[in-house]
Amino acid sequence: MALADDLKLEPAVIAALYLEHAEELRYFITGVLRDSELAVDVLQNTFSKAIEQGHQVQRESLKAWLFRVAYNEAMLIRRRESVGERANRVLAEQAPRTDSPPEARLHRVETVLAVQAALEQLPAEQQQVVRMRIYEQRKFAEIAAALNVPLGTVLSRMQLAQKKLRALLHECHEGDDSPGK
Amino acid sequence: MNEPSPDHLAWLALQYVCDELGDDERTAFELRLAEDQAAREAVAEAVEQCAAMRVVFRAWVEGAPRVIATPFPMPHASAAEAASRAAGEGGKPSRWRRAAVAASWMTAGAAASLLALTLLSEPSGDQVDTTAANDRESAALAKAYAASEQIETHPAPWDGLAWAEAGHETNADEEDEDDAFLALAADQQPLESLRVETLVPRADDWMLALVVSGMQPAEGAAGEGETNN
Repeated sequence: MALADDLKLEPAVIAALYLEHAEELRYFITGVLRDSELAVDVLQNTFSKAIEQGHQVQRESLKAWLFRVAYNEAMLIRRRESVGERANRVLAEQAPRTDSPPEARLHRVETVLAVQAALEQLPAEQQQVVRMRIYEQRKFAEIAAALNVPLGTVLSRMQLAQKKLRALLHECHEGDDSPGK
Repeated sequence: MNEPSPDHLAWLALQYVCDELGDDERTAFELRLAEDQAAREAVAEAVEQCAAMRVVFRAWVEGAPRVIATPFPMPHASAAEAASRAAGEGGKPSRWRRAAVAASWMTAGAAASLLALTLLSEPSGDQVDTTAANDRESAALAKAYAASEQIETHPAPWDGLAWAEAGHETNADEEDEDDAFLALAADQQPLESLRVETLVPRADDWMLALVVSGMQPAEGAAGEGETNN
């Protein structure tokens, strides 16, 4: 047992892993769960496992391992939720939220500024589709109907917009330091 | 096997995050997430970008304060404190304080002049009963003076920076204060990062503490802990 304890990752390594990957992990988990609060729980479980089992993983594979653990934890929670807590969840979602919206805590300020700059450069019709989908939360089919254009046109505009946004954001990030990326 | 381009993967991830994939596609993508690190990172990126876009659109559409990258920085509280010390402990009043004092004296002087003028131009007591008028004037003067006393003598430090950066002239004897402003500028944080700071999910201290405290470092195992399995 003492030997196993000795083999555990050092606290400094765990802390460094957390600093380097926790944000990205949380985005990922939120994407899987659609719930930023549950994502925090999953993130915590993930790092608990890293403390217990991280020593069994090669250092260079730790990031991917963390993501895989996070994914499995998230799916576990999702299955559990789908069985027992769906009704509670519906009720909870109907209740007005008093805290800030989840997405409010899911961005870095550099990203917001870069996204803002990138959005300003999009052609109007692409920006409109992005706004309707991301901000107004309308489905692509609804957007197509509202704009009276084929669904394929809407998808194409969104895809083009995303492509440009990514390119601009990557330029911005490359201009920054971001050695961990 | 055809490896999809990063753009295609990003597009899939965006559709997944937006819940726009059909059941089969979603299931397939989630199976992929179990194995494919690039796909997981694409999901993370999509989530962050969508959240950022919502913030931007909310600002545009709802007229919320817009996130603006401004060259004008807002100092840390610690920097403000340091600047306050630098400006205050030397025994020299700050620029704002001197301006406020000067304004107070000017107002008081104007009030005294007005009072003197009023007294000089006042008709003799046997002509008109001026008690009521004098009372009103005195009250007005008292009010003006009181207002002059309430001048804000300690504006926020960033107002001071705005003053300095607006190009106001600096006299030689104000160098100490300029040092204070420089102290502010040296330890500053970009304005935008403070505006949205509360929204930014930085590495949570509590979790970090939890992670670190959850592990008891093995005594004497510092060197042995470097096990690359």
